[in-house]
Amino acid sequence: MASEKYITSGCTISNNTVYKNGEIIFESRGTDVQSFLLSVYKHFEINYSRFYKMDNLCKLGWLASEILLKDDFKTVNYKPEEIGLILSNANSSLDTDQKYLASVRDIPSPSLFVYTLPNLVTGEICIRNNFKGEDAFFVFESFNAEFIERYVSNLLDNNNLQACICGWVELLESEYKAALFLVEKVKKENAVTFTAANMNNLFEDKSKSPEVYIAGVGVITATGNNVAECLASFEKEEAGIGEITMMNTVHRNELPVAEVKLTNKKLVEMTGLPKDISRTTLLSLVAAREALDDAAIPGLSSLRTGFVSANTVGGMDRSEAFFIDFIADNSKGKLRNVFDHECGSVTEAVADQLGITDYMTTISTACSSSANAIFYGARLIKNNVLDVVVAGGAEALTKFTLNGFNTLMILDKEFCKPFDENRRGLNLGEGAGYVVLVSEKVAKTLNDPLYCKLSGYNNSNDAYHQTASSPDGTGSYLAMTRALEKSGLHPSDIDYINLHGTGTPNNDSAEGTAVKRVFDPHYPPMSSTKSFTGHTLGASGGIEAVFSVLAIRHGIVYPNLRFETKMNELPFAPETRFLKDQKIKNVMSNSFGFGGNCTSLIFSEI
Amino acid sequence: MSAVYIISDDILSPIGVTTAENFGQLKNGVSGVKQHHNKAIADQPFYAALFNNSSFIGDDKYTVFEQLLIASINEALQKTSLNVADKKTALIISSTKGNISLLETETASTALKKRIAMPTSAKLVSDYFGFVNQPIVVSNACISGIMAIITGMRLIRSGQYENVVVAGADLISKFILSGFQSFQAISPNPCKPFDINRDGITLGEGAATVILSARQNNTRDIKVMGGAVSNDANHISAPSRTGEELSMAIKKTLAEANVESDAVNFISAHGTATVYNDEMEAKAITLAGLQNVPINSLKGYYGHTLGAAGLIESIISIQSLKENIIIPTLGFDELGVSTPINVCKELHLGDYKNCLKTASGFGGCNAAVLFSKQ
Repeated sequence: MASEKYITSGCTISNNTVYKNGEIIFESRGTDVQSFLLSVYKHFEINYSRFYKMDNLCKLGWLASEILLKDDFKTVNYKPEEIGLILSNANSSLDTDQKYLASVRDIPSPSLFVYTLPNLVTGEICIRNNFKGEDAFFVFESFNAEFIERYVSNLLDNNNLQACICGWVELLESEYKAALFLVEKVKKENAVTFTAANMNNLFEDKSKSPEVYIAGVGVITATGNNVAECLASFEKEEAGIGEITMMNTVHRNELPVAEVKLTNKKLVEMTGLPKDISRTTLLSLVAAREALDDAAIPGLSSLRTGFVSANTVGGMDRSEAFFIDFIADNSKGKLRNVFDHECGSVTEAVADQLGITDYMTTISTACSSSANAIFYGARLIKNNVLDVVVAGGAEALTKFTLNGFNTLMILDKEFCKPFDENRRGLNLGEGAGYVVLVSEKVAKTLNDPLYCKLSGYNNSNDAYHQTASSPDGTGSYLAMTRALEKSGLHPSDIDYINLHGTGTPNNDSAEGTAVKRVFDPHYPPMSSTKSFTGHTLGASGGIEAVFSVLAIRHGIVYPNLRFETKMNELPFAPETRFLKDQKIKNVMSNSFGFGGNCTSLIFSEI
Repeated sequence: MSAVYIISDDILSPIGVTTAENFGQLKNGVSGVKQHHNKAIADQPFYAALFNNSSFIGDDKYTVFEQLLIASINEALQKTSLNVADKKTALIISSTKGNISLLETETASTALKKRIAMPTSAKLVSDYFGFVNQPIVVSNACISGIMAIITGMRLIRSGQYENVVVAGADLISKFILSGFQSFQAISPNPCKPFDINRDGITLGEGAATVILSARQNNTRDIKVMGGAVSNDANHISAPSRTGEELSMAIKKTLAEANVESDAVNFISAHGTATVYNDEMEAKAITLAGLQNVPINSLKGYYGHTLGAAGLIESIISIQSLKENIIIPTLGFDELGVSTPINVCKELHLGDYKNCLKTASGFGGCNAAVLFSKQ
């Protein structure tokens, strides 16, 4: 009774992309589900007026069946009752159920109600093709290839059917995926044997979220003006923290900071930017340009490129210069000094210099800003909105932030000691750090090896206090565990943690508790590179992402400077030595900010 | 093909909590259909067969829908010594809308969507009893219940499982009633299947369970002989104009069961009492050469119980075979379909061996299954 059965055609639609037999045959730019489905309909020049009446679930499944059957399927080879459909999904017709229920409050819509059954998808495909054989709709938590294989095989072996379309059609709000397989008893060109494994291969390959790779890095901090200088400082264990030399403040000789060792004049010479521009813009351009040069992407101008940059106080340094004159006499003060005050102005000026015009945006979520910029950039690539994104952040030291943190009484008058029992607070720093994120497609065109990929990320809120972390580190715990979940990694897979580790009693206690909850009892090496660079606020996530990427590239672990005494409440201590020749496959980078905004990124070896 | 036995069953409906109670009520002509004034469901009074209570196992960890399934499965299991934890035992759940009423009463959230998803209910029910295999959910409009029996039959015949517990349930909420009303499909009175004055359906709530097995438990066990499903390929909500596709499913079923059409003793029809459904069914029955066979619809007693209908009506048919009684079609008075079929108006007694059960639903789907006495 059992005969050979083949998948003679396969069609997958997900992530704005249509695949036929594993090959991409149509891609669309980032758009909503409704418009995407319409663009598929139009692209394949299908003319079927019923399409416009269908709900989104039916549109999706019906389009997949059209593409599945086009080209070489001949309906005339079978009698109508010999062709059937066995489909499945997880959420039944919930997408339309919600829309129908919304209509009930006004006038219940019969045209929506009819689609509140999942098997309407099979009905629509039957109507279109005059298929009259068995059709069934099953609901499983996830695609159950084994069940479908057995069920369809049974129908074909017992001659209930001679051909069957089977698979998965799921759509709920903006999430959707269709994977249909045509199963026949005759072998055709490119056919594969009908097995659960072969269905899963076709299903999985296209269902996994597209990878986002790191192709370039750039950084400027108090420890160095570029990647090479920063790496050298780590190896020499030389912190960039010292007395205030550039800012004109009453706190000189009283509060140590980590200044970039270049004056504005020097930075203007290096970048070619106008002399009155914000120091934040200057730092941003230096690091972003280094990153983009490092990535050396062939044909960049023909790719969809974006700049996602973070900072917390924009051109505040220039606004402060304006206010000295303005406060004395409110008819005075150079207005060009406030021109760059808002955060977005920095991004715009740098994007102009980089020649990036497709997309730019600014993220400002306190100390997690640039970590958020990086994973937002990654999502723009995953969703096929962009091909390349320069993502990270920049921050210059200002009186505004120095005085602000001072009033919060979380600045250390000595050099900071992250994760030490006797830590007293943080040192502010300045700098910029950017990574160049590229899509799978762009990655294939590069001449230089990729650094790694961004395998996991998450942003969660601590929901506890505006400027203090919860004792249990709820937000940090959620960010770390969910980023791990996203990456598909276990805590034991992490080879190094670049801690947020500001050196304040509160942060290190909360972060340490969260680390304990996630990693106990096996702790990977970890350190806070803020012991070198100070806390660069809106730039810190970007700078530390660069360090995390470099840890994988060079197999290194950075020391946590000035650590002496293990915290009583924690069973672990940070790494104090510069470690070389390590096998670093996966690095977690933490960035937690005021407002309870907690982000963890995970970078992984390719 | 190997035999598939129905070793236990249960109906949990507004008129009874066991199969025996339900069948007794039907023999006495008792209907669950009543007029309801329930503002939570509709502004105007409406006829339906609804439960009075909203708790069936007294554990609010489970929704009413899940409690119905659990209570019905529990009752069916008590009559057997089946080991649900055996890896050769599977669970199939049939429903059209499951927990959809939560969408009306709870605040929308990701967690709520997960709670409404039918695999969540299936898992809860499965875990309650300790089934070890992943439950299978069938959601195929109004043929769901029969589809679930056919699926169970096939899973046993293919050798994958030895026992399959098939349970179905649906509840009536504003969502469902307003939808059928928007179609002008609800009768203002209790429904009148196949009658000349029929003017629409009456909805109902219920749950039912059958336990299928490769092994006979009792010499009285009824066998599932065959089943088939077809599609009209005509219209998403209106039935076929010819009845050809349902007749195709009937013919395939008889062929698979190896039973001639003249050996069919009675038919338990879908008989929703809409003008078009009953007309289509009459045509299909005639096309299959079964126009003289006694036929009934049970919608006058239970209303249309959607995902549970195929199961409830199959169990009544099974009981009819066991007791040699055909239940009359409540609400039917004068034949109102264009092809003359033999609609049962009174209770029939006889020697019945084979019963055909059919159903049709939105999406153009049709199903038939044949039950036989040994």
